Amino acid sequence: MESLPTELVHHILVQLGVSSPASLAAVACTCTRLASIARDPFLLRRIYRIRLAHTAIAPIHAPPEGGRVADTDWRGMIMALDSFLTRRPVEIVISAPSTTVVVVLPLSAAIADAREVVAEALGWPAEEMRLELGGMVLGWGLLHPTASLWRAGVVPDAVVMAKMRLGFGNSRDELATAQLYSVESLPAAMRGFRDGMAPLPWAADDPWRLHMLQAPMAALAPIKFALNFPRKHAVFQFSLAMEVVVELLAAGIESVPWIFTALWSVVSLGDTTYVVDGHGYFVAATGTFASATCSGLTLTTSLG
Amino acid sequence: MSGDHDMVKLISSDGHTIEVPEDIVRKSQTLQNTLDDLAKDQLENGIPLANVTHAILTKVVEWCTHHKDDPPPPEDDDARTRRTDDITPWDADFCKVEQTVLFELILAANYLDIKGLLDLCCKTVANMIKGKSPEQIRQTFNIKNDFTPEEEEQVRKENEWCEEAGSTGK
Repeated sequence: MESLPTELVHHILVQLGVSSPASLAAVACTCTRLASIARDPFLLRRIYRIRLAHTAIAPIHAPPEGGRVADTDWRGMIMALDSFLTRRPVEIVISAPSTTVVVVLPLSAAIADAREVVAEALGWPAEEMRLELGGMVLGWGLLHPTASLWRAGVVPDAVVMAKMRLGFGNSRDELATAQLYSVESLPAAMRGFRDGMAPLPWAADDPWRLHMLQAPMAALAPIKFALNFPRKHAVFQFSLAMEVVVELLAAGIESVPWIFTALWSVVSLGDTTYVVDGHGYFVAATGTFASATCSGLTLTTSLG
Repeated sequence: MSGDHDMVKLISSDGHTIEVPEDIVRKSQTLQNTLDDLAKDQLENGIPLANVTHAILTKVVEWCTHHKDDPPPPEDDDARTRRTDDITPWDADFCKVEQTVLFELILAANYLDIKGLLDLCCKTVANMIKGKSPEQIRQTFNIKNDFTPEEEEQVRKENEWCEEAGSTGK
C-alpha cells in the first residue's frame, strides 16, 4: 500500500470507510502516513458525501491540528452518523466516567424529541427537564461540502452538527466564548471576515480558540442572552444555521476554508442547568446532530 | 490498420505490443481520448503505455474483455452507495493475484482511467483490510510502524472506539 499515491489510497479508504468505519480507524493506527490520510477531511467528506445521497447527511471532518484532539470522540461521531443513516431515532452512548450522549434527530422534532432522548439516556424525567438547543458557534467547519450540496439540489433544513461537551472547564471564560458567537451577529461576522479582522486578544493563549477565531466569525459581537443565562437564554432554531450558510454562499464566500457550525445547548432539570459547550469540530448535517460529552458540571454552580 | 480497423496496437512499458479490439480499448477513458484525438494513421505504430507492463496490460485487457458489455459506470461517483461485498465471482477470481500485482493493477486502472477496474481492485484491497486490527493490517501489507510511542498512544486513543466496536462485533 505504501507504493500507492495518496489519491489511490484515498480511493481504497473511501471504499472501506463507508462499509466499515471501524476498519478505517484501524488503518489510521498503522503508520503515520495512513494516519494522516485517514484523517484527511477530504477523505471523510468523500465517504460521507456518498452516504449523503441516500441519507441526507453531510460530511464531517476531523479536528484540525491544534484542536483538542484528545477530546475527539470518533465512536460517538460514527455511532451518531450511523444512527442517523439507519434512521434509528437516536443512539445513546454512555461511557464512564464521563457520559456521552449522542442525539440524532430530524430538525422538525429536534427540541421535543431531544428532551425525550436525554431523559431516556440519563434517566431524567422528561416533563421536568428543559432541553433547548439553540444558538450557534461558528468557527471550524467546512463550507465547501455544504456548497456542493446546495448546488446539487440537496437543501438541508439545517446545518447542525456538533460535538459538545456538557459542562465548563472554567465557566466564565467559556461562557464568554459562547457570547461571541451568535446568529444575531452573523452578518457582522461575515463582514468582519471579509474585512480580515484580527482574532480577539483573549484567544491568543488557546490554540484551539485561536483557530476558531481565525475563522470568519472572529468578529462576532457578544450576544445578549448570556446575561440571562441559564434561565432565559435565547433559543435559536437550527434552521438559522442553515440560513447563515445560505447567506454566506449567496455572498460568494463559499471559498471560506472553514466554518464551523455548532449548537449551543442547554439542558435543565429542576434547579440544575447543564450547558452543552460548543467546542466541536463537526460540520454540516442536514438534520440535527448533537453529541454531548457530559461531565455533569452545573452552570449554576460554575457561575458561582 | 488495414483489414483490422477495429484493432488497436498497445505497446507496454517493457516493449511488448498487443493488438486489442477498439471497443475493448475504449473501456479506458484515457485510451478513448487518445483514439478520439489522433488520426488513424497516427495510431499505426501503436499507443505506448509508459506506465503499464505487458503482464499488467494483459490482465487489464482480460478484464476489459470480460466487461465489454457492461454499462458505463455512473458519472457522479459520490452519489451512489459503495459496497465491498458486491464483487462477482469472476472478478473475485480475477483479483486473486499477488499483492504487488493487485497494486500494479490499481495503478494501471488509474492511469488508463478504467473506473470499474479501479473500483474492483480498491474494493479488493478494502476487503483485505476489513475486520483486521492495526497490527494485522501492518502484517498484511508489510507496513512499518513508524509511530513514536507517544504518537501511537495518541492515535490509539483517538481510534480506540474501533477496537471496542470490533470486540463487540458491532
